[in-house]
Amino acid sequence: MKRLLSNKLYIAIFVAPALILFIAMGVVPLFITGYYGLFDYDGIGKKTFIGLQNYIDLFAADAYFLKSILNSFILAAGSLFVQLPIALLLAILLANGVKGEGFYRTVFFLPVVISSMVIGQLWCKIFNSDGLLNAILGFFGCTDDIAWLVNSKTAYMTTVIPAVWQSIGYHMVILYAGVKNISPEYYEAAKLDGATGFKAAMKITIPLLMPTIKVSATFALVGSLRVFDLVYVMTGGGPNHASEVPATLMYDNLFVKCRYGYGSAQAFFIVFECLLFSFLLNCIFKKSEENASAI
Amino acid sequence: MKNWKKVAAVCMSIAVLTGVSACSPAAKQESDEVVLDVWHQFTDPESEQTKTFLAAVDNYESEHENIKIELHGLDTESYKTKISTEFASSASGIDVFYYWSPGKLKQLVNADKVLPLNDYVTDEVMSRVKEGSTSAFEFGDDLYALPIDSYMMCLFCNKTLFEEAGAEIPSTYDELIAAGEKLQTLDGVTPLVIGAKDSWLAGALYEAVALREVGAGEVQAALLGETAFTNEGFKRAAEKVIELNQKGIFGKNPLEDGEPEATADFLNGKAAMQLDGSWFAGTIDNTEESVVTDVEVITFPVVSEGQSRTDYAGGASASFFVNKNTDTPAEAADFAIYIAEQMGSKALEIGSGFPCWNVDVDESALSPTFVSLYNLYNSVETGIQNWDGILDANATAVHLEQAQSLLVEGASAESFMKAHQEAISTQE
Amino acid sequence: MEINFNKIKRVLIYVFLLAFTFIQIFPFYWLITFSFKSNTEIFDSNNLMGLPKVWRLENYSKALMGGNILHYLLNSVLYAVLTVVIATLLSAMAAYAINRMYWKAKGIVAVIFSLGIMIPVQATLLPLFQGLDMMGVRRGYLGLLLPYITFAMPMSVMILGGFFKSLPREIEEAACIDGCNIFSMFFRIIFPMIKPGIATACIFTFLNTWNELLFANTFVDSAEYKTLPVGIMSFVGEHSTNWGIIGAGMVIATLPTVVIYLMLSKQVQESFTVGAVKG
Repeated sequence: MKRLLSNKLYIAIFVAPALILFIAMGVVPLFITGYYGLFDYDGIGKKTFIGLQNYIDLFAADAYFLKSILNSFILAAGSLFVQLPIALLLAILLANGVKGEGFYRTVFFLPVVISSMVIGQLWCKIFNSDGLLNAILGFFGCTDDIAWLVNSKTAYMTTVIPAVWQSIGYHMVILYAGVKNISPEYYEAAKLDGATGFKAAMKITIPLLMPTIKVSATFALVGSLRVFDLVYVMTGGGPNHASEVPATLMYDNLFVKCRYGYGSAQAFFIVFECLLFSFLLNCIFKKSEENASAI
Repeated sequence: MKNWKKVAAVCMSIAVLTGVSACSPAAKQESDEVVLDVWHQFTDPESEQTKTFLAAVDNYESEHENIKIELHGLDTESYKTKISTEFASSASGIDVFYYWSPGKLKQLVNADKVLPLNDYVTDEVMSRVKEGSTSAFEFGDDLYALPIDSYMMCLFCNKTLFEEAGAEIPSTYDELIAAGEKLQTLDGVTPLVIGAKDSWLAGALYEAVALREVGAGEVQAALLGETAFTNEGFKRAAEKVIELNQKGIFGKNPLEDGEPEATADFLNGKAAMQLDGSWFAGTIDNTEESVVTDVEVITFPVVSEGQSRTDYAGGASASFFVNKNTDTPAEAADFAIYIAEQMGSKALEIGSGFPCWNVDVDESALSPTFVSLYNLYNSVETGIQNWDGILDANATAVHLEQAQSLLVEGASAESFMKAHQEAISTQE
Repeated sequence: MEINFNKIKRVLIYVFLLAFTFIQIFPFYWLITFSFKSNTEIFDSNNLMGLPKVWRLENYSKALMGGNILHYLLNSVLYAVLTVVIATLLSAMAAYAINRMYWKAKGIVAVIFSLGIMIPVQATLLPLFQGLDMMGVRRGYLGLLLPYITFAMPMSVMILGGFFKSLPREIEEAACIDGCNIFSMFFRIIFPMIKPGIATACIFTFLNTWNELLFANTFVDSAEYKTLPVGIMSFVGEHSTNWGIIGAGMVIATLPTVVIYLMLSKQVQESFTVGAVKG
C-alpha cells in the first residue's frame, strides 16, 4: 500500500494540475505584487525603483498601518474566541439530531449567503444614533444616544460585531460536516464507557474534530487579518482612520490614492503576516492533533 | 525518469488547453467596417441619460453604415477601477471612453494615454460649443475632449418648512445661521442636510464656503499649485464649517448619513435644505412619493453683505475621450465629438445639467424645479468644479477626509490647513 | 429527577436555537422588505425595520426586464457549475496527495496552496489582468473561469485536507489487498467517504463564485460574458439609484444559493450512514 501511495507518477497526476494552475494564476500574481511594492508607481505611468523603501515606510512613515494591524488582531481574537465556539456549539447540537435540523441548518447559514453590502447597511441602521441599539438602550434607561459609527472610540467595534456574527454560519457548516464525518463507532465505544451527551462531545467529538477545527481556525484567523468588505461598507476606515484595517488602507492606496507601489507592498505584507500567524496556529494545533490520533 | 516524461506530457496538455483559446476569438472584421469599442457608465436603464446616450449611438450607427459601435458599460465605481486597470495594461480594447477631467484625466495624459483632438475639432464644431466651457479638458495647448454639460452645486430649500419655522431663505452666512436656528425648533427637522458620510459631499460643503471666502480665481490658482494654499480665507472657511456644525445646523451627527439618507430626509420633509448638484432637481421632480411641494433653489449664501454671487461651484467635468493607441483615431475622435454634442444638447431636456453647446431652450418643456435652477445658472459666471475633480488622487483623498474631520467633535482649522498645504504642495 | 433535568436541558437548547433563528433570519427579512420599498422608505431614518407602505412589485419586474439579467443569470450558472466541478475535483486530488501520499515536498506544496486564502484579491487584480491578457484568454469565458477555479482551490484543498486526515489508514490497506488501482480506489472508495467534505467545499466554492464582483467587473469586456452581480450593479446610476431594484436583484440572486445550499447540506446530513459503511 505504501508503495502505491509513494508512486511519483501518481503523486504528480494528483497534484500537478491544481498546483500548476495555482502557481500560474495565484502565486505568480502575488509575487508580481510584491515586485510592484519595490517601486514608486501610480498604477499607470512610469515606475521608479526605490528598493525596500515602501516596505520600510509601512512601519516608519505610515501613521495608520500599525494601528490597522492592531485592529485586525481584535477581530482575529473575536473570531477565534467568540465566533468559533458558537459555531462549534451549533454544529454539535445540530449534528446530534435536534428536531428540525434541516431548518436550523439553513436559517443559520442565511447571513453568509447575503451580500456584505446588505449586511453592512443593516448594521449601520442598527448602530445609527436613532437606530435599534440606542432604542434598546433607551428602554433600559440609557439615553445617551451615542453615534456608534462616527465616534472614534466605538467605530471599529461596530464593524467587529457584525463581522464576528456574519461568519458563524460559515464555520458552523464546516464543523457540522466534520462532526458528521466522525464514525458512529466511536460513540458506541464511548457509550459502553458511559460517556454520552456533553461528556461524549468533550471526549470524542472535539478531539476527533481537531483537524477540521484547525481548518476553521485558520480560515477565521486569515479572514480577520485580511478583512475588508464589512469595514469598507460600514465605516470606510473612519472616522479619522480609527477603524482602518490593513486591507482598507491597501485598497485606498491601490485604487483611490493612486499609490499603487505602496498599496502592493501593503498587500504583500498582509500575505506575509497571514503566513506567519497561520504557522503559529499550526504549532498550537500540532499538539492537540497528536492527542487526537491517540484515540 | 520515465515517470517525469509523463508529468511533462500532462503539463504540456494543460498548456495546450489554455493556449488553444489564445488564438481562437478575435473575430476578423470586413476590411471596410470599423468597429469602435466605446466605454461608458450609463448603465442604469431607468435613467434618462442612458436613454439619450443609447439613442445617440443608434443614430450615429445609422448615419455611418461602415461603423459599428460596441458598447461596454459598468456602474460608476466599478467603471473607474476597470478603466485604470485597462490603462495600466495595454487598454487594447478601448477606442473611446468616458472619463472625468482634469483631476482623473491628468494621470492618463501624463502617461501619454490620451489622444489630443486638436486636429479633429473643426472651427465649425467649435462655433457650436459655449465659449469658455472647454477649459477642464485642456492640458497645455492640447484639447482632449469637447464638453457635454455643466453642473452646479446648489442649496435646495423646502419652502414649506421655512414658512412653518418663520425662517427666511438665507442669502448671507449670518442669515443661514439665523434660519438654521429657527428651523431647529421644528421637531425632527435638520436645517441643512449634507450626507457627509459620502466624503465628496463633506468636501462640497467646505468648498462652498471657501468659494465665498476666497473667490473662484484664487481657489483655482491654489488648487493647481500656482499660489500657496495659505490664503486666510481658506482657514476662515474651515472655521465657519466648524461653527455651523457646532450650532447644530447639519443635525446631530452629520457624518452618520450619506447622500441616499440625506435625500430621503429632504424628500420626506425632514430636512429644510440640502446641498447637492443640479441633477438633484430631477430627483425631486421624479420622486412621486415625495412630500416636498415647494422648492426654491439658491446658490450658497455669501459671507458678507453685498458680495458678488457670480462665482459658483460646478462646470463641465466629464466627457468622452479617445485612447491614444486606437487603430482608428479619426473615426474614434469623430464619434467622441458627436456623442458629446448629442448628449450635451439634450442635457436640459432630461435634467442632467446645463448644455455646453449652443441650443435653443424651450422652457415650457422643463420640469418646474429645473426652470428656477436654469434661471439661477444664467445669473452666475465663473465656475469651479468640486475639488475632487481638480486635485490629484492623493490630494483629493486628503482634502475629502479633512473636510469630513471638520464635522467631528474637536475639529481644528489649523490641522485642516496644514494637511492641505502638505498634500497640495506635493502634487505633480 | 434525572428525567426532569434532561427536559430542562432540552427546553434550554430549543430556546437557544429559536433565539438564534430569529437573529439569523432577520437580515433576510430585511433584504426582502427592502426589495419592495422605494428609496424614501429604505433610507427613512424612522422606519428602518418595518414593512413597506406600498409593496412595489415593479422593483422585481424592472430588475428582471431592465438589462440582460436572464442572460447574466445563465452565465453565472455556467461559471459557478464549471468552477465547482473542476475546482473541487482538482482540489480533492491535490488534497489527497498532500494528506495521504508519501513524498517529501508535500509540506511545501501545502504551504503554497495555503497562500491562496491569504492573498488580498484586490492587489492581484492588475497582475492577473495583465497575465490573462498575455495569454489571450481574458475576453472569453476562460477569462473568469481560470481565476475562479484558481482561487477556489486553496480553500477546498484545506477543507478536504481536514477530512482526508480523519480517515483511518485501514481503508487504503483494505482496498490494497483487494487489488484496487489508485484511481478506482480514490474515486470509488475514498471519494464517497469524504462526501460531507466534498459537499461543504462545493457550497463555499459555489457561493464565492456566484457572488464574486471585482474580477467579474474588471476582466469581462463584453456583455456576452457578464455575470449576475455585475448585471445587478448596472442599476446603480452616477447620481441617483433606485435601491429597491438592487434589493430585488439581490433577492433573485440569493434564491439559487439557498437552493444549492439546501441540496448540498442535505448530502452532509445524510452522510452519517454513508460514513458508517466501512471500506
